[in-house]
Amino acid sequence: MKVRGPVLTLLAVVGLALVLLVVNTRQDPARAPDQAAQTDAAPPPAAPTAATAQAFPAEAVYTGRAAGDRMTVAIAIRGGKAAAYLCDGNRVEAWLEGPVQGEELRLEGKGGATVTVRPDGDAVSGQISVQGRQLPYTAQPAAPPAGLYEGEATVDGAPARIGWIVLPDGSQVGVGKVGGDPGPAPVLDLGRGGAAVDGVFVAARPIRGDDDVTG
Amino acid sequence: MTSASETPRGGASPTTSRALAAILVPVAVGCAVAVALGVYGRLHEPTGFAINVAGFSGTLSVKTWLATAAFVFAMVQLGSALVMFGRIPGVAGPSWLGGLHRWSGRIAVLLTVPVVVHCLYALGFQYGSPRVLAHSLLGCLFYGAFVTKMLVLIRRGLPGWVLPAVGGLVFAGLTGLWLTSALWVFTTVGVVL
Repeated sequence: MKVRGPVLTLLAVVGLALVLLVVNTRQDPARAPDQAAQTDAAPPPAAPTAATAQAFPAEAVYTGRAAGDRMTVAIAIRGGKAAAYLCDGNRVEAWLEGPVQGEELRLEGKGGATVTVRPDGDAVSGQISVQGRQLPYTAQPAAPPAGLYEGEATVDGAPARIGWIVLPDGSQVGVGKVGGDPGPAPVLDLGRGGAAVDGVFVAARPIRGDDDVTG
Repeated sequence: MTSASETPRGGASPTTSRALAAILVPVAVGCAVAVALGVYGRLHEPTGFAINVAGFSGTLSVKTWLATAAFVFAMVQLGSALVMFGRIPGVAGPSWLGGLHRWSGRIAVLLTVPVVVHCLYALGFQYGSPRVLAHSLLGCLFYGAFVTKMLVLIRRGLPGWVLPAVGGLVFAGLTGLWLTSALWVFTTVGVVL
């Protein structure tokens, strides 16, 4: 007993660490692409109707600036759903979601933020409403690497979430929240697919229309 | 320095070398563990993601309170060890003191395991600021010293100073870890569950 006790303690520590590591690995969203792909693939066949197919493309990403150039907006459409992000590159930001139906989409986010989206030739236009202000905007189709990106990480134990809009001219606008405190986003390194936040590499993933962004 | 109690001085050469080997192996294994943790933390791409524990506001508070609980048990370790080695005058160790020391130590280390798994898996070895660098180094030191301590415990015929020295290193490591993490959280973010 006296001899084996420390060995058992060691084994218990190693065992607990391994169990936790395995649980972590299993739940890691980055390591479950198959599941994500399946859930992504399932809805579209049922969703398209004649009206939506005419008004909006099945998949698209738009980026643009609102009147006054203060706010930048990105809208992604896919699989009958739309996701949007708007921010001022400093402290104001909102993630929004909504279904693709009818001629005008209405996307909603936390804190009463809304974005309306109408087809406007190849582009889309509408109104954004955030923090009590309403602004008209126009957004152009964005081909990769332009588009909408999201990064999530834990920085010094605090949850961090960053949104980036990359415009077709290569300029970036983004806001990052570390522990709920918003601030200008770090530079998104498109070559590496992420950004450094306090020494932590935060991977950025492109956001599609059917990604869950408000949850 | 040397332990006169266990061996006669005449046969010093073979016994000292045996005692030296008995110390060196646990120390070498502990060093290897410390280096391995550091290398893993540096090479493994931080995922920024880890499971959460229900009942707390977030990962940060879970880790903070687990570390604080471990630190409380570490204080029990220090107190019980001081009594066991007769360093508190007038206090005779009760018969259950050994059990208290063993179990408080086990609980303390087990409490740190979820914390270190999150640190290594989600954050990795970092050196962005002096606090973070110290914390990363102390984390490697602590688990290396812990492994050494466990291995020293099952060796016989060691000089009397070895166990307190290694135990002190483990305690210092955990204390440093707590100071550079939980106390930092309490003073910057605040005391939140």
